[in-house]
Amino acid sequence: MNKINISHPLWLIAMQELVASFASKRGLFVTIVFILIWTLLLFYPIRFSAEAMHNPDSASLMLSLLGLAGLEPLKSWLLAEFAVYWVVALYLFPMFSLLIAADQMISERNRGGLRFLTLRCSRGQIYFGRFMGHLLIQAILLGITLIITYFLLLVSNPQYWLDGLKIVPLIFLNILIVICPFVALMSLLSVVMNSVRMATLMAVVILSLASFMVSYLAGSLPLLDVLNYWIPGVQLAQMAQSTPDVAFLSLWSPLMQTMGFLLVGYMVFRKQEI
Amino acid sequence: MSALIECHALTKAYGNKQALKNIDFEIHAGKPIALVGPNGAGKSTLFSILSGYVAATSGQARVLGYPVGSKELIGRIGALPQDALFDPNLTILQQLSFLARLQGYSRYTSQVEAERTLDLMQLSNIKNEKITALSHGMKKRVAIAQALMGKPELVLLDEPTAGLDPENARNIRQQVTELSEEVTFIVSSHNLAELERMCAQVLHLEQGELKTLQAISGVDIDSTASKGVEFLTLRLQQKNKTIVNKINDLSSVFKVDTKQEDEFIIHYDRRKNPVLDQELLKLLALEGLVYRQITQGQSLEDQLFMAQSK
Repeated sequence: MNKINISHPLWLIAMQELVASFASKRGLFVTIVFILIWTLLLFYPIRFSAEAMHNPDSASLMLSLLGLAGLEPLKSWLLAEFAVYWVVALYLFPMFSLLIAADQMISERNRGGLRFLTLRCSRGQIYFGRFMGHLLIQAILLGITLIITYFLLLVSNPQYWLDGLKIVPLIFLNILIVICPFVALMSLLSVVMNSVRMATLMAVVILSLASFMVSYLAGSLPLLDVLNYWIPGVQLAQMAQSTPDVAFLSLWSPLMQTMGFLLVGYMVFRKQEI
Repeated sequence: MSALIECHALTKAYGNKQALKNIDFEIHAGKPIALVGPNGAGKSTLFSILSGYVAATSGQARVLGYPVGSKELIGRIGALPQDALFDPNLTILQQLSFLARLQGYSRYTSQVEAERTLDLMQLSNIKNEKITALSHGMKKRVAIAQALMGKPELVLLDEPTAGLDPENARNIRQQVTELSEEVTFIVSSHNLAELERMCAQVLHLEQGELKTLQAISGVDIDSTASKGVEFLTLRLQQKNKTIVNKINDLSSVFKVDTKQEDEFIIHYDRRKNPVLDQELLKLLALEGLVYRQITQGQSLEDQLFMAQSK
């Protein structure tokens, strides 16, 4: 089995990014906001929704609400905590990654710090190492929220401990792959934009307007409808209505988008003046 | 012996402005090399191209036999880039150790290496500080420390002593001189007296063009495998114009430039008269003139600018 080479520049850069992100004021601020939001979500909406789904008296109201939201398949989930977590995490983690992964390169390029790195490793290692580092940050945060949700499940329905253990890795992998194109989009934007704020703003604009633009263009040339597959998160609604094992089938588009964004960003960064 | 740096028809343009115009030169490993020129001459652009920070618009630049930016050069070049700053959120030691790890050091030896170079720059006491807590001069010395980490074969220092106090500037000159047995340094600076003390050759850029590549206190490296032309620089205690004619009459002297009324540059043929300095001393004694300094060769400033001003 191949071991991870902990001295490989790619891995060193990823780990350094992890350290630097949590050491920066911005990273700390975003992490604190993340913890606050998830604490509120886990202990109120997720717990109460789960309790409601388990309770026969309030279940009918909860189930009809899910039906209204188009999330009827969630009714079939045995583990109510994870059913609610699944939907919330599918939408919240990608949005969060736009904030935390925005500064993969910008501040350092502006202060000239990249010049210390390029004499010691390749630009590819810097670029992909930063992407890996930010994905690692998201994976850690994702893991923490999943563990807390699992504990909530153990408290309310300990008899499902094994089912919980089985579903945790499935949800983890699904969400991590869902996050990938968003982090890759921020990798690309952090190469082409000159300020962190502008990069985040541009990402929001792209994600908000992309589907309108594609619909408009496809109106003139229906073939262009295929561009929809390049919009990060295009598969989220479909995934939210499925269970994690079925949702795997939708993950080809985020994987394709990730590779596409990373490749374009790398091509630009390879030639960029630093 | 293959050249340390080879540049052929190297050109760099920023929009309509040409920062480097068709530069051609070769430099071999050895004593430190000075890179001089006025602001905007293209010195930092040349450093940036050699370090792989920017790509040339046209032409070729090779370092240690490889095109700039090649993976073969990773870890073999050290550089002090102009105005580059470290991460304000991490300590100096954390950052230098990380850079050393990228150069292949282990977790432990990377710290030892970072501390070694900080010690060279007399900065051991600030290793646990963040960069924001340091003065401008200290920041620059930390950046020089990173350039010296590992075993680079070529180190490019862009104005290493600008903004430093005299004591630290002197320490940097000493370090460059001591390390120059193992490493070839290219140093850009506006302080010509400093370069004259440290360097053996000078690369002179002006408006993006290469004016000269020559030995300091010597003659053009490429063109004259020495035709015997040497210089003596005479500086008198008092102004005296009449002495020029008498110096001109000395054997082997073929020209005397008056730099100021009390300073003269004597051009002579050393092969014809290897003891001109002794004859000059006799002449001064005969004329009753007191001298302040007689120097073999001419200053770097005179070398670069006297010829142009004529």
